[in-house]
Amino acid sequence: MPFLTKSLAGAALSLLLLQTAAHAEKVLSGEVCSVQVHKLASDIEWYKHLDEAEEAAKEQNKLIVWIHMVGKIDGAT
Amino acid sequence: MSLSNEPVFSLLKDQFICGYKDIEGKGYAGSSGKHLPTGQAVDTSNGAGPHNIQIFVLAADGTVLHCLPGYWHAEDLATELQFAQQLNKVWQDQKLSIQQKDQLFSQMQLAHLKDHSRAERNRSHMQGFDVLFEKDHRLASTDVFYHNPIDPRTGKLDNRLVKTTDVIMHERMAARPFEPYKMFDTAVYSDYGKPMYDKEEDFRDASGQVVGDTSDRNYIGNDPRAHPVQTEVKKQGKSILRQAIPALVRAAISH
Repeated sequence: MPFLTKSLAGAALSLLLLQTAAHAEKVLSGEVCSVQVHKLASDIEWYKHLDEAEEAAKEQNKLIVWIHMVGKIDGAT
Repeated sequence: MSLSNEPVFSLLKDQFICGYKDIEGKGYAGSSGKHLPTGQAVDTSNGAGPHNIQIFVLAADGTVLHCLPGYWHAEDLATELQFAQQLNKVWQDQKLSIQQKDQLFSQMQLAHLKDHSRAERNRSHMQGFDVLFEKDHRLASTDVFYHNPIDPRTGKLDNRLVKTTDVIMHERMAARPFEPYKMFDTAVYSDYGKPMYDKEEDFRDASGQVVGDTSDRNYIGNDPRAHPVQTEVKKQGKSILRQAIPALVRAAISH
């Protein structure tokens, strides 16, 4: 293969690999996720009944973040 | 994972009462591959997985101030939480009539789009499979396109006509001013894209590439694969019924 063609082929392959890497999803490891889930579940009090959350919100003059999720805040999702 | 990241985590801890409801089994809930707390996670776009998670911000009396469908990056979620606090000021303003409050609500929802940074807009592109789902299943009725996105000359989808999810969110919220949570039409509000959302997180290597066999995994949510025992019982029930009906009919005739 002539030198110029080899160089172009090499450049194209590098670009393809770079684009592939760029489009690959950024991954958080299980260890990091586990720590973050523990922090989320233990450092914040999570109400499971909206009426209780409303009562707390009135007492503390705060708004409510009420999350609908498939799964549990400290379990499988 | 955005809930545990700053600036959202401190906001939630210090300024909000937090609660959640497991919607597995609800008719409007979606499904995904089942992920344990020790499983991996991948970064994704704002508004991804709207059927699987909805983040409501409520006034203390249960009035819906805001609702974010799907996943949201921490910095964008923080901005929207603070926006909800502004909406609450309108809701609590006793000098305004209900009509004035509703009007302000809608105006503020649409105006907030102008405050969104280019970075937030770039984080809010709808997932490609969700765009295709909308095009293939409800092109005539969906609100996720600015207008018919199909180029008549080529028959191809013009991606410039696909709304970002932050636009969809604020437009849909603008049409629902200060609704009581119990009356909020979550099913309609959170409905865009595929019901099933999964990024195969646990099958990706450190570089983010999917490796290994993804066919053998567990599911969660509204998917028969998430409930294999129930699905099998239902199948057997139908089979038994198909066999029993002719026998019952014959018995009835002979008597």
